[in-house]
Amino acid sequence: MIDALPAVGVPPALFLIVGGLLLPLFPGLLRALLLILLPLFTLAQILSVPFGAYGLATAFGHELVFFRLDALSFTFAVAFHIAMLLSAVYALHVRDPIEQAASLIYPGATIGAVLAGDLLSAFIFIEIMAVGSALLIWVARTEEAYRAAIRYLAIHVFAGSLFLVGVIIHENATGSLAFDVMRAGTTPGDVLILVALGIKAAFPLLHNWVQDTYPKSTVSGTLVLSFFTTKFAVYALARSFPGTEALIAVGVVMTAFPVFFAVIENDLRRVLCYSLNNQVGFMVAAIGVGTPLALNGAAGYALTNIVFEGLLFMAVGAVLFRTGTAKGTDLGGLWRSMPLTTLLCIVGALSISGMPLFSGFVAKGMILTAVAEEGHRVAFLMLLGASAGVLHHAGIKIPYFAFFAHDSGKRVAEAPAHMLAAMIAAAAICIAIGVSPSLLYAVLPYPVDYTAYTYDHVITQSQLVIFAVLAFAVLMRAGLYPPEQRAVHLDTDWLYRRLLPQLVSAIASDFAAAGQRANAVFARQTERFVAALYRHHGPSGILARSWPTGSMVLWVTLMLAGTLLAIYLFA
Amino acid sequence: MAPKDRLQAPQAYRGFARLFAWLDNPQAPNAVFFTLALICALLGALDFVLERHATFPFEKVKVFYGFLGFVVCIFIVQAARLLRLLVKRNERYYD
Repeated sequence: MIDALPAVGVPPALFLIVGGLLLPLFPGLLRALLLILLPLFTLAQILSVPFGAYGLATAFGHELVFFRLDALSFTFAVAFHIAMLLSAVYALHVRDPIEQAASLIYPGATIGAVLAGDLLSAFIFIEIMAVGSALLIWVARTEEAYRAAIRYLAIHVFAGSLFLVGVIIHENATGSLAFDVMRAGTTPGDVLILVALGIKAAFPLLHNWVQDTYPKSTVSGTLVLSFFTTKFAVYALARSFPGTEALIAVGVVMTAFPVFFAVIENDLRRVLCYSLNNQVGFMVAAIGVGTPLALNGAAGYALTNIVFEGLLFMAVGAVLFRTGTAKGTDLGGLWRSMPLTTLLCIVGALSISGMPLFSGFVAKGMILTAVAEEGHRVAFLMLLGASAGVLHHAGIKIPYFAFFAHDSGKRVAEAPAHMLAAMIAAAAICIAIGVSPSLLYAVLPYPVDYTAYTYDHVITQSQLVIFAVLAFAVLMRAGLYPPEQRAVHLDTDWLYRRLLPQLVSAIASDFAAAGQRANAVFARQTERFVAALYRHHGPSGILARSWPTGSMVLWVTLMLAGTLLAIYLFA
Repeated sequence: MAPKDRLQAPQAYRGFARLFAWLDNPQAPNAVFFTLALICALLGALDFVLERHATFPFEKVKVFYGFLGFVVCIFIVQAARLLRLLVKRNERYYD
C-alpha cells in the first residue's frame, strides 16, 4: 500500500493548498467533489504513512521538516480531516469558488502547521492559515464581514509576527528550530510563542476575535472557521508547553467567563463561539496538567469537540439557512418544520454536556479524572462548574431557543439533504465513540489506561447534567430566566472597535486643532512684522521721508569732520 | 407571543415531527418537569444506596454532583443577568 502511493513523502498540506489555489479553474460540481476527494486522499496518505519525518529541506543552516508524523500530530491530523470532510459535505450547496478555495487552503494550511516538524515551516503555514481564514470571513461579502475580516487579519498577522520573533529568539538561545517541548520562561522567545498561541487559542482577554468575526461569515464559512485555528493552537500548546502549571489556571478561567456571556447572547452562532472558548479552556487546562492521561484527554477532547461542536454549528447553520436568522428572539418552535435537525442538534447538545453514551462523556471524563488525580482541587471544582455551565448555554439554550421555546410562527423546509447527511455523520460519530470509546482510544497519542464507563463516572456526570437541566426548568417555571433580547453585548472587542477608534480620532483632532492654532499664531506674528516694516519703511515711515538739502549738507559736513578727527586720533 | 398552534393536527406532522408532537399537549411542560424531578430524585437516591469512590473530601457529600449542577446553574443565570446590565447595548451600537 505504501509503495503504491508515489506521493508518500509529500506533505499533505501541499496537495490541499495547491488544490485550493487551482480550484476556481474547475466547474461547479467538480469543485464540490474535489472538496471531498482531496481530503480523502490526504487522509489515506496519513493513515498509511509510518510515523517519521518527511518533506525535508535545509534553510538558514537548519533542517526544515515539512511533514512530521508522530502520535500527537497524527491525532490532530485525523481530527482535522474529519472536520474537512464533514464541512465539505455540509457545504455542497456553495457555488462561490473563493469560499470553496478558502475551504481547502485554510484547513490545508492548518494540517500543514500540525504536521510541521520545525518552527519555521510551522510559521509559514500559520501565515497561510491567517490569510485563508480571513478570506473565509470576507466571503459573506457584507460590509460587516469585510470590516471583520480586516480586524481578524490584523490580529492574526500580529500573532504571527509575535510567533516569528519568538522563534528567532528561541533559535538564538537554543540553536534549534525543532517544534518540540519548550519550557516557557526559558527564553523570552518561548514566552512570545506562548502569547502568540494564546491569541490563536483565544485565551482570556485575547478571546474576543472569535465572537467578533466567526458569526459574520456565511453558513458554511462559520463552520469551517470554527474547527481549525483554535484546535491548532491546542495542538501547539500540547506539543510545546505540556505540564506548564500556568496553563491550568488559564484554562480554568477560559471555561468560566464565556458561560456568562453565552447565557445572555442572542445570536446563537455567537453563543456557540463563546462555547468554543469554553471548550478550548478544558483542553488548555488538561495540557497544563500534562500527564499522559491529561494529554490524551486534551487531544481526545479536541477530536470529539470538533465533531459535536461542529454538529451544533451545523444545526444552527441549517436553521440560519432556512429561516434567514440565527437570533434566539426570532426563533422557536422549529421542531415542527425541522424535526430531524432538532433531533441531531439534541445529539450534539447531549454530547457537549457530557451525557453518558455520547463522545463528550468519554473525553471530558479523561480530563476531569486527570485533573483530580494530580490533586488540583480548585481546578477540578471549577471545571465541574464549567461543565454545568456548558450544559446550560450549549446543551440546553441552543436547542431550546432554536427549536422549542415559544412558537415563532416560522414554517420552513427541513434542512437540505446534504446538510442532514453531514449532521447524521457527525451524530453517528458522537454516539459511536460514546458507546465504544476504544474507537477514540485508537487514535490518541499515548497508551490509554482509562475506563470511561465506571459506576462513579456515570453516576456523577449524570447527576451533574440532570440536576442542571432541572435547575433550568425551575428557573423557567418561576419566570426567573432572562428572556432573549435583541442586543449587542460589550466584550473586549469594545477596546479596539470603540475605544481605539475614538482615541485615535480624538488625538487626531487634537493634533489638527493644535496645528491650526500654531498656524494662527505664526500668521499673526508675520502680520505684525509686516506692519512694523510698513510703519518704518512705508510711505509715511521715518526712513522713507524725504529730507531737506540743508540738513543733508550739515550731516555730511559733520561726518567728514568726525572721520578726520578719528584718523588724527587713532591712526 | 403566538398562541398555541392548533393549525397542525397530529396527523399532519411530518415524519420525525411526530416524535415531538406530544409537545403540543397543554400538559406537556408539567409532564416534562415532573419527569425531570423524578429522574433527579432517583439519581439522588442512588447515592444513598450505592457506594461512590471519591478522590476529594467534598465529593463524599451525598448527591454532591447533583447539588453542584443545580446551584451552579442558578448562579450562572443570575450572574448573567447582572452582566447583562453592564454590557448590554443597542443592536446598532457598532455601526
